[in-house]
Amino acid sequence: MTKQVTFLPHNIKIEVEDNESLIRAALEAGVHINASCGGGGVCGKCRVMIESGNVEGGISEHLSEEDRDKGYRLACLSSVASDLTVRVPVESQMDTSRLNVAAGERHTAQEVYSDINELRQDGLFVPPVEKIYLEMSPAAVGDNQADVERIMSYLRQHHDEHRLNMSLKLIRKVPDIIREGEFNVTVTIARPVREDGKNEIINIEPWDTTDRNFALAVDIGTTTIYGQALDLKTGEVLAQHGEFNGQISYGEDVISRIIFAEKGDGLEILHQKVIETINKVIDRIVKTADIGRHEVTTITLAGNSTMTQLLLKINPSYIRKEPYVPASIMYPPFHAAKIGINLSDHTMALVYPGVSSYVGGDVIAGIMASGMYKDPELTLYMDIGTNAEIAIGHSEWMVCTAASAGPAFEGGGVKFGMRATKGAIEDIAINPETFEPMIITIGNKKAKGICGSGLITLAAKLLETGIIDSRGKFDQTLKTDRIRQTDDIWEYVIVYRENTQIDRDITITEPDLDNLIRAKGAMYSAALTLLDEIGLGIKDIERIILAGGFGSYVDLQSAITIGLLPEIEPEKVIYLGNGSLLGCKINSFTNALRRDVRNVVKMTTNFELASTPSYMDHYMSALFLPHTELNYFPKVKERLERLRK
Amino acid sequence: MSRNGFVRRITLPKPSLTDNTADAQRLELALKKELKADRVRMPLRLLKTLPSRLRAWDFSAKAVLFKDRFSWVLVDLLDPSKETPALGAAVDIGTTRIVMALINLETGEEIGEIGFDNPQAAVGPDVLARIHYAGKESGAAELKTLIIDAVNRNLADLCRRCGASAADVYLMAGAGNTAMTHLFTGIDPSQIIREPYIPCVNIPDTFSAGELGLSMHPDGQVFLFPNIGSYFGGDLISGILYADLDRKEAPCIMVDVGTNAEIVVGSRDFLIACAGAAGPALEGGVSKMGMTAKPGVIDRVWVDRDSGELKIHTIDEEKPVGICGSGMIDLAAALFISGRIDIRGKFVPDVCKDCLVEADDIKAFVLVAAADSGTGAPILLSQVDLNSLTSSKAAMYTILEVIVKNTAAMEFEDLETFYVAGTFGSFIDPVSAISIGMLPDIPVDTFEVLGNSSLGGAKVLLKNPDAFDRIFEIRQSITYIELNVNQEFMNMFSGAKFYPHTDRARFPSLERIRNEKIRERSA
Repeated sequence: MTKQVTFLPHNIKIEVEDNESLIRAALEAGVHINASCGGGGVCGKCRVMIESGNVEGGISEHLSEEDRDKGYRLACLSSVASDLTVRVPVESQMDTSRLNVAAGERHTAQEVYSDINELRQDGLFVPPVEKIYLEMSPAAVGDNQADVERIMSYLRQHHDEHRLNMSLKLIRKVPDIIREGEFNVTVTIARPVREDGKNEIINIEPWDTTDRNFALAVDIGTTTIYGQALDLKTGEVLAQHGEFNGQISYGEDVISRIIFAEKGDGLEILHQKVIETINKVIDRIVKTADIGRHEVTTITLAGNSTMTQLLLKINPSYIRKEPYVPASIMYPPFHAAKIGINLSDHTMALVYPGVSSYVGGDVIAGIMASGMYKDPELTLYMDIGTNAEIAIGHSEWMVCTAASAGPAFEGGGVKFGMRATKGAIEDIAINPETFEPMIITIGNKKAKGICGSGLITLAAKLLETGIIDSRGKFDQTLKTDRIRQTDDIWEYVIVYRENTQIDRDITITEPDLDNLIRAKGAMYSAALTLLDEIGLGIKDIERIILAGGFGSYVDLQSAITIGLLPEIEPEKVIYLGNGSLLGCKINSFTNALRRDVRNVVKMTTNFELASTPSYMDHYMSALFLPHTELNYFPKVKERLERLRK
Repeated sequence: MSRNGFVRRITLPKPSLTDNTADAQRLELALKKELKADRVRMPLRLLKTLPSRLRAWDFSAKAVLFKDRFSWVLVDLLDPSKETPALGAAVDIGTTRIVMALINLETGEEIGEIGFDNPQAAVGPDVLARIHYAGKESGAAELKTLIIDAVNRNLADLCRRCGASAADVYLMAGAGNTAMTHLFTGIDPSQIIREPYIPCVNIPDTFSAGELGLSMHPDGQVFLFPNIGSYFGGDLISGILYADLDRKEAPCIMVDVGTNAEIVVGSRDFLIACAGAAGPALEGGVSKMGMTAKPGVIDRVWVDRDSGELKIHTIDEEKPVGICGSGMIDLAAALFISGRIDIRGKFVPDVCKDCLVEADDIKAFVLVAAADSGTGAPILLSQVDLNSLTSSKAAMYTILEVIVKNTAAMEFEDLETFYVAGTFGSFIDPVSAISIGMLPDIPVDTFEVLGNSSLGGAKVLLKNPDAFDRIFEIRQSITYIELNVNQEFMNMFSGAKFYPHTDRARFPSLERIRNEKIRERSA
C-alpha cells in the first residue's frame, strides 16, 4: 500500500510505501529538511509539523510537550502511517525549488526466474542437485539385479535419468540403506552441465526425504562474502548473511592479494581466510534457516577470477602478469568438504565460470541473473566495484572487459570512505543557497563515514551546487564555513564532529574527489572503448543494468551527473543489486542455467584494455565531471547551467 | 614411437595478448585434438598446479590419461623432459591366487609380472566362507585391507625388481569374479549368496586409488572389470576381451574351467554366456578333482604303445605323490581307450587284472604301487572318484551342448576356435578330454589355450584405450542364460555320463585316437 505525502509550503507530493521514513520521503521528493546526524534523532534539527494524517513515532526529547501537542515531530524518527500533509517549518525548510529538478526515480531489475513457479511452468525447475524418491520393488527370484543397478535402472525407466554414476564410498553403503528402507530410497543426483555428462548419485537415504533439499548461494566478493540459504522445494530464501572477506587484512584489492599469495605460504593463508569466512556465513545461515548441513545438497559460489582461484587454492600469479591468463575459466563440480567448506561429504560445490582474468564468475553470475543474454535489447552491464567489469551485448553476442576503478566505489581511497554498513552516509542533499547538507545514514545511526553510493550522490550535489567545478576542485570563494583548507588540502565538511560517531569532522577532500573521478572515468571510458571496438556508440545502448556492491541503490541521476553512467532515460536503467549472489541463487534452482552459462561464456569475447590503444584517450577525456565532451551529456549540461544561473 | 595409449605427449600454443585463453581451456583443447574426443574431464586437483607446471615445462607435457564410462579423464601431467615411465598394473584377482603385471603405459611394453596367494584365504579358502565373513561387522573392510595390503606389498616388490617405484603406477586394471570384485573394494557381498542372489554392484567403473588405500600414485585411477551377475564376473569379460571373442567373424567358444565352468559362445554378432555353478551336477566342480600342482604330482598319464601299460609323468619328475585334475582326465582317457573301463565308466576286471583292488566293497585302480609311491601308500583311483569324474565330464559336455546347440542353435563343428581359459584348462590335453566325452569331438587344432585370460584382458586395456569402450559393449551385448537343471537337462546329462556318450556317433574320432594311442596288438 502506498501513501501520499504532501510537503508544504511548496505543495510537493510524493507516493511512498507504507512505513517509509518521513525524512527519506522528503529526500526522495527533493524537499530539503535540515538533518545532520544521519537520521537517528540525535541532532533534533529535522522537526516538521504534521498537519493531517498520522505518523508512527517521531517523538523525541528535542521536542517540548507543547511542540508535540502542536503536531511537531522529528522527520527522521517518523514513519508514514497514512496519507499525510507535512509542513516544513521555516527554520528547517529551505528553498527547494531549484533542487526539485527531475529527482529521477530508482528502478530495480527483475531478476530472471525470480519466481520458482515461472521456472516450473517452463519446465526448468530442475535443480543441479535434485532429490528423487524411488519406491522400487524388492529383489526377488527372477528379479535379481544388483542393488546399485536396480536403483539406476529404476531411475532410467521411471524418471528418464541416464548416464548415472556412484562413488565407491556410496556403493559400500547401498546394500544396508536399500534394505533399511525396504527398497524405498531417496537418491540425490548431481547433474552435469552437458547433457551427455554423467549424473552422479551423491547420496542415498532410506525412505522419502525429498521435502528437505536445500541449497546455498555464496557471492565471494573481494570485500564482502554474502550467503543465502534456499529451499529447493519452495524456492524461498530462508536466510541471508554477509561477512567481510577475511582476506581483507592481507590487501584491499585483488592485485595486492595476488602479490601476497605469491610469497611464502601466502596462498595457503588467503585460501584459509576465505574458507573461514565462508564457513562463518554458512554457520549463520544454516542456523537461521534451521536446516541440517546434511540437507544442503549444493553450494553455488561466484567470485572474480582471483577470488575463485584463491578459493580453490590455485596460484593466481599469472592473472596479474601479461598476457593475463587465468588458470581456468570453468571448474568442475567438486565435493565442498574437500576444500574445507563445513558441509556434508556429499554436498556438491558449483563454481561459476568466468571469461577471463578480469571478467570472472561474479560478472557471469550477474549477467545470468539479469537475463540480458536472452533479450534482443542491446544492454550495457556494469558491475561497479574496485574492479569495474563491463559487458555489452544481447542474445546473439557479447563483449566484455574490465577496468581497474580503484576502491573509491567501495569506500576505499577516500578519507572518510567506508563500506556500506551502519553509519555510512548513503544519501545526501545540499542546499544550493546555504550549502548546508541533509544526510541519511544506513541504519539511521550517527555518521561514521560515507559509502560508495553516498559518495556518488555527494559528488553530484557538490557539482550541482557549484561547490566543485568540473575538475573536482572547490570553489574557494563560496561563503560557507564548510569549505575550508586543512593541511593544505581543500575539503567540504559533511558532518561536524558532534554529530558523528568518530569524534571528528567528516569531510570530503580534493584527493577524494580525484579518486572518485578516476574511478568513474575508468568505468565510463571502458564502456566507451568497448563500444568503439565493436563499432557502436553510447546512443545504441537500449538498456543499462547496474550491479555491484553498493549498500543501497545508487542514485541514477547522480551517477549520470558525474559521468559514471552515460546519459540515458532513468527508466532504461535497472539496478540488479548483488548480481553475483542472484546468479548463484538462480543457479541453485535450475540446471538449465548452467548450460546457458556455458554458451554465454563461449559467445563472449573478452577485450584487454591494456592492449586496446584507444582506451587511454577515452580515459583521459573522462577525467572531468561529467566529461570533457559535454555533448555526451546534453541534459546534464542543460541542468547544470540552469542550476548555476 | 607413436602409440595411441594412455600416455600422450602434447604441446600447447603459448598464450599471448591476442590469445589469452585460460590455461585449463588451452590444455583441454590440445587434449581433445590429440584424443580426437569431444570431451576430456580435468579434475580440480590438476587445475590447482596447472599454471606453474605449464610454464615450467614451456607449455608442453606428458599427459597420463584414463577413461570412465562418460569421458576421457586426465590423471596427471608429467614433465616431458623426464624419462621416468608412467606405469600401469594389470591384476588378475583370483580367489586363490593373484597375478599382477607391470606395463609401460607409453610404449605398451610389459616389464614384469608377479604372482602371490590371495591372503583372504586365511579367512576362508573358498569364496563362500569369505562372503559370510564379510557380512559381519567390519568384515568387508577387513577382507579389503588384507588383499589391498598384499597388493601394495607385491606391487612395491614388482616395481623395485623392475627398477621403478610404485608412485609411478598411475593406472590399475583388475579383473576378478563378482564376489572377488566386491571383496577387493570393501563392498559387502552378503546378498550374493542369499536368495535371490544379488550383487551390490555390477559396474564399479573407475575410481581413485586413494578410495581403496592402494599405494600407487596418489591420483592413480583404478578400473575393475564389470560383472554381469553374481555368477558371471569381470574376469570373464576380461577373458572375452583377451580372446577377441567380440570381434570374431565366425562363432567361437571360450570355456573357463575354474572353480566353476563358465562358458561364452559368440562372435562380433552375438555373445551368449552361462555359468555352470547352478545345479547339483556340477557340485564339487571339475577342478575339485585331484590335487593342486606341485612336485611329484602326476600331470600326465598315457598308454604305452608296446606294453599297453599305463605310464605316468610327474611334475619335476619326482616320486609320485598324487594326481592333479588334468592328470585325472588323462587317466580316465587312458583307462577308457585301453578298455580298462567300459562305456558306463565301470572298471573292467578282465582288463584291469591285478591293478584292481577292492576295499570296503569299493573297487579301486592302482595307478602307482606303494613301492613306487612318494608317500609310501599306493596311488588309487576308486570307483567313487571315477564316478565323480564321470559326473563332472558329463556336466561339462551337457552345458556345452545346452549353450551351443540348444541356445545358440549351432553344431559344435560350427565353432571356429575353442578357447580354453583358466589355469586348470591350460593343462588339459584336448585329445584326452575328447576321448572321455568331456569336450566335443572337433579338430584338435580348433582348441587354443588362453592361459590367464583374466590378466590378459586387463593388460589389453592398459595398452589400448579403445578396449575401454569394448568392455562395456561386451557387457551390454552378452545374453546371460541361467542354467536350468530341468528334466531336459537331466536327460542330456544322463546321455553324457557314458563314455564318451550314449550317442557314439558324436565322437567319430575315437577310433582314430585309439589307434594312434595304442598300436594294434596283432597277436
